[in-house]
Amino acid sequence: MMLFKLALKNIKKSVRDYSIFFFTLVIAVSLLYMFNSLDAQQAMMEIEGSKSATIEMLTKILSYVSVFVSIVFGMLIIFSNTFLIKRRKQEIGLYQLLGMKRRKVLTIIALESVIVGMGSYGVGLLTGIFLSQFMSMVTAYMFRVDLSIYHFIFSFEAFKTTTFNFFVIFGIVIILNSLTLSRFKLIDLFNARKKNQNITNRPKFISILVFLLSISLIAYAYYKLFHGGITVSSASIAMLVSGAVGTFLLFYSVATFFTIVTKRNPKLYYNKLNCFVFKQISSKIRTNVLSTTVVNLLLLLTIGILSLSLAIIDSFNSDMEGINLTDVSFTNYNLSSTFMTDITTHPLFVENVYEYVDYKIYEADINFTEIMLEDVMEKYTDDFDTMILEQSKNNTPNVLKYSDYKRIIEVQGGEARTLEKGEFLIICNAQFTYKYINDFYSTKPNIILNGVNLKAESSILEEVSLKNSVSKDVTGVIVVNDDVVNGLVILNESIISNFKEDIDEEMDQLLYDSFHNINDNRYLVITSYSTDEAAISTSVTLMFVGLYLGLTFAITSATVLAIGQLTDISDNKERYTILRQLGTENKLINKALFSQIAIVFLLPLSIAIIHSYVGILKFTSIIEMLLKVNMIGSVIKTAGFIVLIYGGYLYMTYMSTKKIININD
Amino acid sequence: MVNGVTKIYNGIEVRKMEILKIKNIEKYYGSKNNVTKAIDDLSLSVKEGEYVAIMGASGSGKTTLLNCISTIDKVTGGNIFIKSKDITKLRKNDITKFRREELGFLFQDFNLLDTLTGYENIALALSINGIKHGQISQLIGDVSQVLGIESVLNKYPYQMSGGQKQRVSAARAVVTKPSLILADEPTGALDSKSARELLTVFSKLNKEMKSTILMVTHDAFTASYVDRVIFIKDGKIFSEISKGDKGRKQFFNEIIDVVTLLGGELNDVI
Repeated sequence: MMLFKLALKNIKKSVRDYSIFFFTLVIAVSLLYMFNSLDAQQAMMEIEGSKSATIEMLTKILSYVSVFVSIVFGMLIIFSNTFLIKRRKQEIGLYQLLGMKRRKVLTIIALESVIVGMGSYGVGLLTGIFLSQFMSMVTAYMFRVDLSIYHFIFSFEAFKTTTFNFFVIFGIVIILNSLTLSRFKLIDLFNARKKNQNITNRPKFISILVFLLSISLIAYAYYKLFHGGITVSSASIAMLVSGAVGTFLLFYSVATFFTIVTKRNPKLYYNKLNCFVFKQISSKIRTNVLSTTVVNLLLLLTIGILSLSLAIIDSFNSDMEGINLTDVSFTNYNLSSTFMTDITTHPLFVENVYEYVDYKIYEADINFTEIMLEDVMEKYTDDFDTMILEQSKNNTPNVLKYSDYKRIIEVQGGEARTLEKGEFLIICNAQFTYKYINDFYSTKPNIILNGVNLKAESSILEEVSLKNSVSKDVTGVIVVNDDVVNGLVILNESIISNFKEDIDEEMDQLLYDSFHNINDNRYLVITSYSTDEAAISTSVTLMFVGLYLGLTFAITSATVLAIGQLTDISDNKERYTILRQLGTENKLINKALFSQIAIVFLLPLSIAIIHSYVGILKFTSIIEMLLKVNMIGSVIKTAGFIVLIYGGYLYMTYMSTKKIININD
Repeated sequence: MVNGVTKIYNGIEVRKMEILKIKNIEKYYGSKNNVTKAIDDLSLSVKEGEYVAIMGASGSGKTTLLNCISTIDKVTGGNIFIKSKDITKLRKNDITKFRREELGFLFQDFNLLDTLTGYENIALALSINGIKHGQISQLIGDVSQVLGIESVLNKYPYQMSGGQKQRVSAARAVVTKPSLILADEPTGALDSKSARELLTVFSKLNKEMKSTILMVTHDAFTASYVDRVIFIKDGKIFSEISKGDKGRKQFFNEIIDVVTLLGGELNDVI
């Protein structure tokens, strides 16, 4: 009991030190709870069927992600705890000097951790429960469903996951603590505070060499990124290793580089507090190379994950617009001869459909190489372009009869183009092939199809969809007058139909059950309902996983920096006291403090922005193969997120360090 | 209001201004029921170019007095004039400006910034006064010659000896040409050789650069280097002796006599 009292007193005494540890734990616990509480949030919404299946799947995905998130937070907690112990070494040494047994000292420290841990677990859980009430609004919005009448929700699943992960992390922290402390010698504990700050200047030329080396390593990583670095290969390992090492060396050498540059300008260097500020900054960068690198990589992950997932959600949703213009489509890929009667005479079909169109897709008798001129293909030299073009070289394009085309457009409610005799047009809406086909078609070319000489109807591609789909998937269909297709091979046939009433969950299921397998003939049934659901489920999954990871990485990186700054500034408080004794105005001192913190925060961020810019360039070019990407919108959203979280931490760090240095005023 | 006194130096009349004038100051600590009088109705004055030491046992109020003069602490009552300006009436922002322009500080533990070289430490005192880079190197060159610290200007504090650190710290204090230099146990952390060197340098500063120095010490040897020693006991002036034309040894013996009279801890300083 005595030990418990002592532990409690110790916490009170070093409440500021503990507050960082405490808040880190609270945030970890509340995030874990929030993102695992989806199953309970569901109770508040009118969700059933496929949406609840999505939630079930999402819950599972998020619980896997939680393991990863817990590992990240676990490392952060160990990091902040190490700082805490370092600051209290002398006190721990004193206990031992006064004759307390080592075991007892360890018990005190463990007790302190347990008290703070329990407190933060409780507060974190309450915060998580509170915030999850609001989060259900976001969830409802994302699922495009209405919130039913509000009632308090508590997720037992989330509680279980959070508790389990928390106690695993926490157990590891306590064990690590005892291990580190029991290895210390008394003399080391006492000398811990007397830090020997050796400001050894590294030789200039070595720093410049390292700087140049780091730049070339990063450049090499960028080169690899564009040359096979994103496939699982030795190239990707080379990219990751040289990128990480290059970044590390950049931070390692940048301080000396910075000093050299600033010293070159004595007017600036010896102005007001500048020489103090510059020295502070360069010593901060120099002593925190590893943590700056880690923070940089975490930020890179944050920016990358968030901006790409937002961009994919955005383009996925806009891609879905205008492609599901009919209610249900049925496709016969296996060329079953009874397709038409199987579908159109089915009572469900007869009863509910008020209009439908059937059409056949034929195979052209020429391949892409023969149609498209060699020089169009040679225009693309990027590795992905060449790969795609190389693979589709011998593919044959699809052909559609003009009369079918007209009826399809009609049932979709659009306006069909007119095709004169001896003309052809191309339908293409897939991002995947659009640019190649467009390059070809925009020259108003002539082709010979099935022995008939045809000329392009115009230079503008027709961008419509044919049947229901989850994406724009018409990679290029040649439309010709009906007589031209005579004798061409049929590839598949489809029926597209409009129903008397909107398709709902029940009808969707009924249609699938009735049509996907008729007498062992398998047909593809796609309803507008199911495509909407697929879009929502993809968006929601990406959004939640992106936000969960983004928040985790952003908070972790900002906390690492905040802890570093808070401990550093309270350890070196006397520097600011000296400045005040010299008669420096508070305004100047605060400005110096702010510049120091701002640079420590912004240095890894700026490098992360450069890295992610290059990374996003590459990934966008890949996504653009499949989807039209609007990167700007998602980058702005990501920037807002970073400013909010990271900027918030910067501001809080500044405010609390300002308090620390003004404490003796 | 200029309180001048007239002195005869080699037959020439020189008006010496009072740099520091303390009038009936009091400093109380504690609550209403339990008041500790750290300084109790104390008055003294220091003239331009004077080299004065304040001696007293620990708890006598000498450090409190220094803190009040240096505007780090506030008096409970009375007035302190520095160059005829009442610093007890200054506002917070003016205090900072006043401290920067009129006062120089020396501390027992040097208080140098460990991240800056000797040169940069001195330069900082100038640059926060708005002095431009061109002038800075000139001023530092002059002062480091007087103090003999040219060789350590490019070293960091951890590369210097205690004596060197204190001389750099002295250079920082005098380089801004303050009206008054306040030194708090400047030899406290030095060995006797370094202490002697430092005190010689102080005398030089006082003679050559006409610096006015007020030093707080409990060490009779250190005090024997100054012109005048003021003894404090229980927050009041106990006695005061001047060196005059006496030699340092004789002055030292006189100081010891007073110390013996004072009794207490000061006995162990010899």
